[in-house]
Amino acid sequence: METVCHDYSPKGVKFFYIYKALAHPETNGYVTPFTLKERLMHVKEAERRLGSQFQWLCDTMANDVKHQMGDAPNSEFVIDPQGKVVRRRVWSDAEQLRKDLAELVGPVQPATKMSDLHLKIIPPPKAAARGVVPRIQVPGPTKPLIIEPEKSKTPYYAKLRAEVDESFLKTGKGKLYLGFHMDPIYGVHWNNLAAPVHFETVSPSGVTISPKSGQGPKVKEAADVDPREFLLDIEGKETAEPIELTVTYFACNDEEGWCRPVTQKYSIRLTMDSDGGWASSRHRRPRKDRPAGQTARSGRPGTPSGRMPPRARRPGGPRAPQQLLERIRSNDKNGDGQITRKEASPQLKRFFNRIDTDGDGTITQDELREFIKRRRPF
Amino acid sequence: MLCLRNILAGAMVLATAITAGAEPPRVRADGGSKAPAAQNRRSLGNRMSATFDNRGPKVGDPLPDITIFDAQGQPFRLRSLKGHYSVIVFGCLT
Repeated sequence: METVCHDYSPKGVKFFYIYKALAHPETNGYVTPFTLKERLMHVKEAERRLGSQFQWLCDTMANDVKHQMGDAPNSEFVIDPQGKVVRRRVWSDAEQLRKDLAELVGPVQPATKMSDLHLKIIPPPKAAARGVVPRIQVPGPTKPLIIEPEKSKTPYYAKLRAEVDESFLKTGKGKLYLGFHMDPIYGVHWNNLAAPVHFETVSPSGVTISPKSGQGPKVKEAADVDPREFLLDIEGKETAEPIELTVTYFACNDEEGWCRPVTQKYSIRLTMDSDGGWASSRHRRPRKDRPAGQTARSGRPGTPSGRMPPRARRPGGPRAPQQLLERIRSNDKNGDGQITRKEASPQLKRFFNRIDTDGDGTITQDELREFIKRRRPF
Repeated sequence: MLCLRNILAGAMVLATAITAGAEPPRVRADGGSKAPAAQNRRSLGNRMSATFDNRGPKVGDPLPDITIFDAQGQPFRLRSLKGHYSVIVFGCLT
């Protein structure tokens, strides 16, 4: 996209990214902003990290533009000088866009290559250690719930994400996921020298949560930014009354030199949040041939969690495109836009040498693009 | 990341073939299915495309009359995009 922008900006074409709700919260640690101010901080972070020449715009907190323009996470439109849509596609495609603009505005020869731009994607911020507290693997699909943070003068340094599993939605009995995620835009971390995060819930009539309260683990590391996650039993019917939750934790910001106790409150509605996105980093789709309750990791010695052993084929055919996309994206663990052999999944390692044409042990964007071109035009 | 996402969107097609080994794709481009087990399954991508087609503006439509914000938080009216060609891409940090 940047090369198209580089070639067509001089011809008077304006390029805009519209920042909307997170498609995959928790990826690289980013969590759903609660306020417009925080979403604008995300925009600044996107500008900082991506170095794009596009102008960034910011959707409303209700995601009005996203909803009225088709509700796709990475859609693309070309608007003519009269303000009318002349091209539209559900998924942004740089090569097709270049062809569109060649038709509409005229061709640019030679086309700029990514390597000409020397773009560098900056890694996401890291306030403290990661990988200290094990993540919860939720057994099965879940849906995000609408949460309403109480007005607070203190920013929500740790942000709640709440989800219920499909069993609860179908039968009224299932699991409630609560995750408290340190928001990287504030540069904060848990203070593990103080009391661990603690929460309490108050359920509306007809809804039972067990346990009603919980406390995070005691961690040896003095500081970390791993989420504190809980999987609770929930039983009851959908109700207009929310679950009330109070959380207490201790946050520190080393750069600004402060540590402070924080108590904050939420209302959790038992209503699906259609803009809540999908936390792909946490979920493993259950396999039909896996016994109930067995996790992706258990019973499969020698294979990383949730991944197929070499040469195995998925029951039921290939993954859905979006899942595959997320699976490949997840290889870029430090978010620098390149995939090292160490970062690559077992599946990707099988094809690593064919993609890494210069043999330097890193798959760059150009190499990936060239490999794809060799295999199939898109 | 958005650039990487676009590249990987193409890789996804490739990876589909990788995951399926030498098998031909089971779901046809026209939405039909060769495998009975897949007959009632609509992929996330198909659902997304259907929603996009149903709710999104069509070719020839004006942009919705919504005021959003620029990166500084100042109001920005979408319909002010006139007088030149504009490219709009939705994105986020994840």
